[in-house]
Amino acid sequence: MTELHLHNLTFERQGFSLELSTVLPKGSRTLLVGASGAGKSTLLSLLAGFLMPKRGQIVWEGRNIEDLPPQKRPLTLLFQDHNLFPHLSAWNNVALGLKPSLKVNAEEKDKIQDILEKVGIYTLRERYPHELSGGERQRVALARSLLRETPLLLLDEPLGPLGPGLRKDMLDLLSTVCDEFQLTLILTTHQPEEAMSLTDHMLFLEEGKIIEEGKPLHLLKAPTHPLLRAYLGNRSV
Amino acid sequence: MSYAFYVFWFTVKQSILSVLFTVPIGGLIARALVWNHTWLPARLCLKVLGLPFITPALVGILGFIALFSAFFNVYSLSGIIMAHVVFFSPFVAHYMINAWRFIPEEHYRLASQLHFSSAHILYFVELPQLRKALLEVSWICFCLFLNSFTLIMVLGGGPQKTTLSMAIYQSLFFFYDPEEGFKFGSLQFLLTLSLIFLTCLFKVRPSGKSLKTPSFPPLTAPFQRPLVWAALLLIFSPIVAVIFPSFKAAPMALQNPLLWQSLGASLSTSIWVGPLSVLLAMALVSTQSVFGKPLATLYFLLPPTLIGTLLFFLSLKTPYIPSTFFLGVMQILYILPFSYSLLVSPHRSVKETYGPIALSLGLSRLQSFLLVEWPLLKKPIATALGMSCALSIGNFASLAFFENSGAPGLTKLLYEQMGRHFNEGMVTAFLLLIFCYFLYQLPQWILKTHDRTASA
Repeated sequence: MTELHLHNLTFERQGFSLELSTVLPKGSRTLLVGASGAGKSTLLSLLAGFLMPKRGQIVWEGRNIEDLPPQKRPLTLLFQDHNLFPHLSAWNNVALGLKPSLKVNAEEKDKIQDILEKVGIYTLRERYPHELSGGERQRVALARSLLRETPLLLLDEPLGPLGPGLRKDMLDLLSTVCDEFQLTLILTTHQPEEAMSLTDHMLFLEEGKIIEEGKPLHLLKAPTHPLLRAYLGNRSV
Repeated sequence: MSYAFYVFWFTVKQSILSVLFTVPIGGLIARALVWNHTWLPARLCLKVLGLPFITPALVGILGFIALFSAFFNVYSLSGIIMAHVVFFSPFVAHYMINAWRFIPEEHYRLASQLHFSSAHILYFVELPQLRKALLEVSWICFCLFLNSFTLIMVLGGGPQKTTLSMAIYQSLFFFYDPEEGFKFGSLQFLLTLSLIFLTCLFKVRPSGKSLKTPSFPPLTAPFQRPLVWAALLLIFSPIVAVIFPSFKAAPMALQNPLLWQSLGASLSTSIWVGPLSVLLAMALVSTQSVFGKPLATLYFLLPPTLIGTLLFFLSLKTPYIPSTFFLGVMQILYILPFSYSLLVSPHRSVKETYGPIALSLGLSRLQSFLLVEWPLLKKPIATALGMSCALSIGNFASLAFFENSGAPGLTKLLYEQMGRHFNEGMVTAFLLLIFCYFLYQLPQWILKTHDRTASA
């Protein structure tokens, strides 16, 4: 069973409820789309273990993971902001992915160097977060998540703080690392048309429910559901 | 070593030692409360964290003596330090919890993804962000302990345990030696000036914001829940230690006419001191006076004895002014920084949000106050008023310096009873406590306040 299976995943809080089931194959790249408050971030938090479902199951490769604490789940969630500790250099922020004590041996140092080179920020390793641009900070956070070698990568609005040029660079980089590390990717964005080239699957959420599911190109090009059409407005491709 | 130097050294020593114990304990309590903020006892603790603040110091000290005098000599340096820990660690916790809000929730989530231990979270997530607040609160506590008056007056005193504040008071009122009082007063004045200078240098600007807990998911670490229970014990035990014994002594103590006269005297002062302090604070806040900002720091910088001594010498030169006037002025000077701190942030927020709309609608100053500011500031004004009245009735330092008209006032009576009529003192303390909390709540009941600023 090489897939992520969400079975009747239910969550309720303060007038909001989420209830959904879906299957995402291993290695797939899923685009999570929906208006603000539709439940995208809630779903990512449930997957990452920051919120606990009221009922339902999260199954990864045949194993239930909904009761596991965040650090034991086979995934990394990157946030839109505050992914880095401001008082640590880029190198140390990445090294935390290996050892919270930051006492890394020579082999681990090589590993960190490799990852930093892969995401293109090795030369910036001594810089602190406030000395890096938004795109560079995202790359540092991505490097750390790659270092953790978790098979699932969840990205909450990774393109949000970036300008148009940097968004393209980030998408290219994500595509490269997903291929190389064989990652299963789930990402949320308010610019679905931009992330279309990176992803092969799309979920459209509204009020905590999956309204539409399918190929991004197909759904974005010819949206049939009125809610999806309303969400996309004149942006359909 | 000269006596003056010894007094100075003891003042600084007891402050440093008290800070070294109070701040880490308060910080740990804050951490336990923040980490367990959804747990019922922690929620209760967060609600009552401000209680020691409006509890009259003398009542707390009486409870402290009743609780701990059986275990060790409370009239000692260790007694002073322990009392500081009991009364001020909730204040430290309150201060630190507000600082916790500036740690992004994502950092805790990151920490749990990266399998950080509690120590790693402290080192990587919390300390870097809380360092400034920790230094600030340590400095504020240091200044408060340097200026401690009521606590040292009860637990200290005597040549071995005298602080500058006490030395001034003893010179003026026990030895009737104004020259010696002036000498110590000058020393305290210099010390206060140095503290003001250092406060400006360190840019310590305490905020009067109400308590807000962060919203990140609760975390767990060993010993935190017992710490929450310990904090609750710390807050309630001195109060409970006063309440229960007072029931036994009440039938006799309540027949003492001096008790009721003192209550009347205290109430008659607090009903004009409280509102006047709030009015002055409102005036400073709404005129955005240049005195406002430094005023907010005076509560920990200005020693009550220094104000008392200055007013005392002034009263000697102006015998035609009744002592009640100086008593009121001393209380207002003590209370004003607190009222100001409570009002300045809500007023600024209302002004910034609705000021331009009021201006564009052509509302006059009065219309703007009646239609916009008053409805939105009713709650903080009621809180400031309640706090001012409660602080006035519970204030001891002013009564130690100036006679009330007719009767000694409740705190002075309580101080006198602590020596000889301990059980009667319990009843006085309980009565003081009741009126203190009643006065604190009364403006909020009368004005029927509920928070409208949050939804506005």
